[in-house]
Amino acid sequence: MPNNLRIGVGWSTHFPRRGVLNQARCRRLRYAYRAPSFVTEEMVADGSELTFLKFDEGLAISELDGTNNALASNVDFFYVASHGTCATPPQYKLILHGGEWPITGADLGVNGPSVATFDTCDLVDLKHARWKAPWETAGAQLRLLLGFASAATVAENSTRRGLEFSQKIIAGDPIAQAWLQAVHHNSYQGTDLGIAIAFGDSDKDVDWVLYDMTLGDLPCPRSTGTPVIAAEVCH
Amino acid sequence: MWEHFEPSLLGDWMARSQHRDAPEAYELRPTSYLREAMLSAKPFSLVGDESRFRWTVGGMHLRLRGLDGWVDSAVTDAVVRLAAELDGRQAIKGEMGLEESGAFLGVRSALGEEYWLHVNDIAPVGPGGRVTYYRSARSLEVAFHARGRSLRGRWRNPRTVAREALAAFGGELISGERLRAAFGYYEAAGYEPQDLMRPVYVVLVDQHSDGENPGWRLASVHAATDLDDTPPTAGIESVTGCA
Repeated sequence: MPNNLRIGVGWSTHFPRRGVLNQARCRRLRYAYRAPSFVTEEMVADGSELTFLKFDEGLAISELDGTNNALASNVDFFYVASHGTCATPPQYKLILHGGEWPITGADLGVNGPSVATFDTCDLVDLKHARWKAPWETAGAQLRLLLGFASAATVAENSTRRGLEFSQKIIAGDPIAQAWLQAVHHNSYQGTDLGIAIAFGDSDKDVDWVLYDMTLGDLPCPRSTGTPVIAAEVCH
Repeated sequence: MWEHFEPSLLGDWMARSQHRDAPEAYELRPTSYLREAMLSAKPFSLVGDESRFRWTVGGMHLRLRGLDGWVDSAVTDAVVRLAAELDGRQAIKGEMGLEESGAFLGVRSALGEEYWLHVNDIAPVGPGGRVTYYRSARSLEVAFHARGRSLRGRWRNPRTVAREALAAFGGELISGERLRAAFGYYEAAGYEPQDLMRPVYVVLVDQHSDGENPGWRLASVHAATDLDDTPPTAGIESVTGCA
């Protein structure tokens, strides 16, 4: 059955910085466009509505963080590929062409999205005891946060994770498990630790999000209040 | 599996890896070959519901959830046996690197067991060439190509390959960037077409997040041997670029 979801995607492939060394340390991600493009192609073909597609200089922080707009709040399914860092854990920062966005749960899930995928390095640092803390303020709409608890390889083949992920969820596979499998399956041995972070009203509910929730269930907001959070990694 | 180097030593390492005769490359059979063999083999012939199998350009996904009375490890073992019978593959249980594993971080892992399918005692470097059982989803992912005709090759000049690999990352690395490499057969993941399997060097360069700069990882794959009438990018067309 086609899924009639609103999706929003974005990516950054290059990162202007002052100075040659700073520029070199924030490497160009030539293939960052591939995973979100695969997702867009598959999801739109399946009947989802593309609410926004923005990249590089067109994907401004002010369009995401609420300054001018909060684009991710207007969609059910958000997928962005770029640099990311958890260098001052537990705070995650999405690094885009035009700047950095320190994200917490409060930035996501008030109206949307239900599923947010950060195809970047280091969404969380699992070695930090309070890695869940920034996400405890997530809005009720947010049920799944997908990303990496490590570096994320950006290469032609590894970015096929976007293709496998979207084909699996369209086929009806549970979303969290599809992400973990797509990351694991397209990575070299021992690299790329994919993570799925679920938000629920109870232990039972959060387990349902991790193991059973499919595209056909979206949107499915939880009750307001502090969520129960559970996570699983791909290996 | 991964060896760490200073970039200037990459060519030396590649030269050392060429102490034996150059491994053969192989034409690969289409997935339909695996499909026919698998569907006629026990226990897969007993599944009874073909919608549980999802065939991709380079493998298969089998949903075991809801199949009561089945022992998942027995199904996994049956795939591994089939890979040995069909293609002489030796299955080695995967050992994930500790650097990027959830096992020591107190977070549940979706992964059950995983076997890497070696070819003539040479490990696949991935991402395919493996049978993966996902415990949480109760599903099996098979990324495996049966081999056809073999093609004898000659080692490429290791210095040339090393230069090519470093050029793929912009020519030189700067302080804080780490270079790793592995030698083995490149076998594609299940969603990636492949009709030739050849020995390669995979090179990874990464940087850990340092407070001011993000972490990242790039990968590049390079043919280890030359084949007659076949370009060095054959079989790895979709993986030779990185930056």
